[in-house]
Amino acid sequence: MTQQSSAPSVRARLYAATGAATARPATLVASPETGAVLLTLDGGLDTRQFAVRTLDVSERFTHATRRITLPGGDVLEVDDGAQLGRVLAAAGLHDAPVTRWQHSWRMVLVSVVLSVIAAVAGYLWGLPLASDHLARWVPTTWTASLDDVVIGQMQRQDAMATSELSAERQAQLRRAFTASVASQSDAPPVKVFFFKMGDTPNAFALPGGSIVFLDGIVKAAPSDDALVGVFAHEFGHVIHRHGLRNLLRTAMVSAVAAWYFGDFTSIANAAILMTQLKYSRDFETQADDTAIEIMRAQKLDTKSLAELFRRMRDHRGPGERDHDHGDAAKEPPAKVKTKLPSIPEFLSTHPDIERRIERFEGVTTTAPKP
Amino acid sequence: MNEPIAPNAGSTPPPNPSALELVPLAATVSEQAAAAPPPPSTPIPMRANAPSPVQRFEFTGSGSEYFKIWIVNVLLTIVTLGIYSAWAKVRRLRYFYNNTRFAGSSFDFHGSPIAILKGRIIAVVLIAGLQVPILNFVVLALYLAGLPWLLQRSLRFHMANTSYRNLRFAFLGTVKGAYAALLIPIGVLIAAGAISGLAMWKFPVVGSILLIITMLGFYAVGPYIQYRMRRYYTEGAHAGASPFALHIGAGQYYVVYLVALGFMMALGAVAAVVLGFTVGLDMMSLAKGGNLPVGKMIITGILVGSIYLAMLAVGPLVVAMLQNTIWRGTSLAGKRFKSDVPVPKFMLTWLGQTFLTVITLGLYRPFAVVKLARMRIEAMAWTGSADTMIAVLREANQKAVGSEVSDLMDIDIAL
Repeated sequence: MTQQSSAPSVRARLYAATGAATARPATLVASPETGAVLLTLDGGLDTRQFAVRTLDVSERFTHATRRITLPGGDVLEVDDGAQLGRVLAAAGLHDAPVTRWQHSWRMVLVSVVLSVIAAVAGYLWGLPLASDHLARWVPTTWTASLDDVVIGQMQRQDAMATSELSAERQAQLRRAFTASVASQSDAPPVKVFFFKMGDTPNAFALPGGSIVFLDGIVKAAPSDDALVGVFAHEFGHVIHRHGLRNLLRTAMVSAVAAWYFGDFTSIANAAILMTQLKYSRDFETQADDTAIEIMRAQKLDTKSLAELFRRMRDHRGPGERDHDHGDAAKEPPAKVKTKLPSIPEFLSTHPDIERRIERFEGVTTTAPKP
Repeated sequence: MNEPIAPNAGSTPPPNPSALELVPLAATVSEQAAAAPPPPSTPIPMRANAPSPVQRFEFTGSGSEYFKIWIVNVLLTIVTLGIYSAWAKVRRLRYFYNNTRFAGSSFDFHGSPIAILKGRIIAVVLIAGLQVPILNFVVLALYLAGLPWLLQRSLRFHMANTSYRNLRFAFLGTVKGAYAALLIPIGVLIAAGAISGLAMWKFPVVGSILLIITMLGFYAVGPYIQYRMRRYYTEGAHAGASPFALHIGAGQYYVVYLVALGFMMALGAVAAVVLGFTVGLDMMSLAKGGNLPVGKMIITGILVGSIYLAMLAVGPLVVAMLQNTIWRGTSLAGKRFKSDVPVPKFMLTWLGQTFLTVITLGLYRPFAVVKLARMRIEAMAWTGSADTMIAVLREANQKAVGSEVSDLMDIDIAL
């Protein structure tokens, strides 16, 4: 068989399926009329013909050797991958769309832009939505058992001591707390625990609905109204299942970051933390909404809660004012972090405390009659 | 140290009968090659005075090309909510295999994305199962009991799907071997953990001490487990019917980790000295009624911070040293491999590439991956000749064919 001189051809090496492992030099020529390629071994007289549809061709890379697996298992290796592309194209076999994409800088640019858009959208809406949907599938018994573990750990911890509040005082506060949310028809069962951790003024909610008050915050409160406000804030975390949702979001962000950064994940942890902080601030704002709603309904003085926030801020000093009050989901025993003064809001778990104080100052105590 | 190493004792003929039989085969190979014009391969210039030619590994990939492949993979993975990642992994592996040249040809990967997808689904189910109370103990037990089996499957999948010159590699390690390599050390650790956990419950002090010992034991046993796994992996791996052989003992693994520990401790000591010195000076100036030198404190902070950042380079230190140790101690058909990753240079490059990856929010990562891969691949060589390699592969192919596995049972778990 003679070839048209115009048909593109490329040099190749044939490795037989019988396992000779020795390369046999050959030439591959396109046969455009028949949609086939013709293979001629050097020095051989016979030419084999293959319809391009029957070939299994490896992807085109700039420098890499390309391989064609022939029907029957023989393999052709071609060093000039670009020329092989021309031979196959002449015979009617073109690169896959994905391959064409990744060889075009314009499509690559489009991919970068689309990936960034997808990442931002996923972060702002996708992951929160997915984790919140997932949260509905998690039964409350699971989160409750998680609480038991955390409370058990706290009881064994040295930094955490039994509350010094009298049993009557604890019972009195529990009654006030229960009364404040009694009107909430679908309220989940909430358990209140008292612990003492130095004089740290703090309170936090666990994923399963346990709310922990530290003696410090009870002592710092200007009135019991303020404590009911704190309870209402934590209750907001509980009814919105912030703890669980936060756990799920953290897990998802970590999984995505681990996939994206691959070997460099250890470095990416700071970025992961930053993304969680935004979710955390959103939850705090929502819990504040609940607190205001409940305090209004109970005709409680929200200014007392503003005063409590002010005292908590002063207790920690300006350096740590961002880390006040209530870390909803993770690490209940306060991680005392030393930070540089005036941390910007985007680096904080909570919204700016000054703004929160202003917000509670500004709320009118009399609820509008429905 | 169990065995003496003699990394370049390869000039003496290996006591491997199959390697001696290779000689006539190699001769016929040369004859065939002479009949036809030589393939455009074997670019290694042979110097007349070189006693045994060394086949170097070469990497022909480029950062900009891999970037383009990677970003398309990222986009498709996001759009398909992760499902495409299995196909992306195959394309990534093929890019690296196809660009790794050795003795005139390159490697190829034939794994099916479906097998990888199956592995990922199993992983997701396991991780989800670990979150469910009560069930998580069952899942954990199943996982630990099944881990060696998964490991064997995964190694088999990878080796059987790797080819060179149209010949598949094979992994012939048995499931039993995987259990022997993994289960005993892991079992001992689990038992120790359980005992100290129980003790903790009844006698907190004794339990805590036992737990600390267990944790230290974990670190102490870690290199040994890694060594046992490597031995299992290397001795199961076959090119044709020729097994790879490992000539090092667990001691060499401990040397690597002791160097890593020394590196961390040295940097920690430097940081402590810098910090102690400057804080001491500050205290003295304060005592004399001076002001707190804020500017100097910031400089100290940056200095100490960068020392801690340098500690991150312990990762690449271990990677480079382990690669050198393992491959210098590995042979095929009686011929040793060589590996000369320049350790300090590799660590510095890793730090620089990591920095660039972070400040570009990950967009530089494909360039970093290619650069580091090139350093690692091009540090490798084999002391046998190309003809020997061809003969090794050819002589034994019949056996290797029998080890091909059905796609149905293929599972790939990234361990």
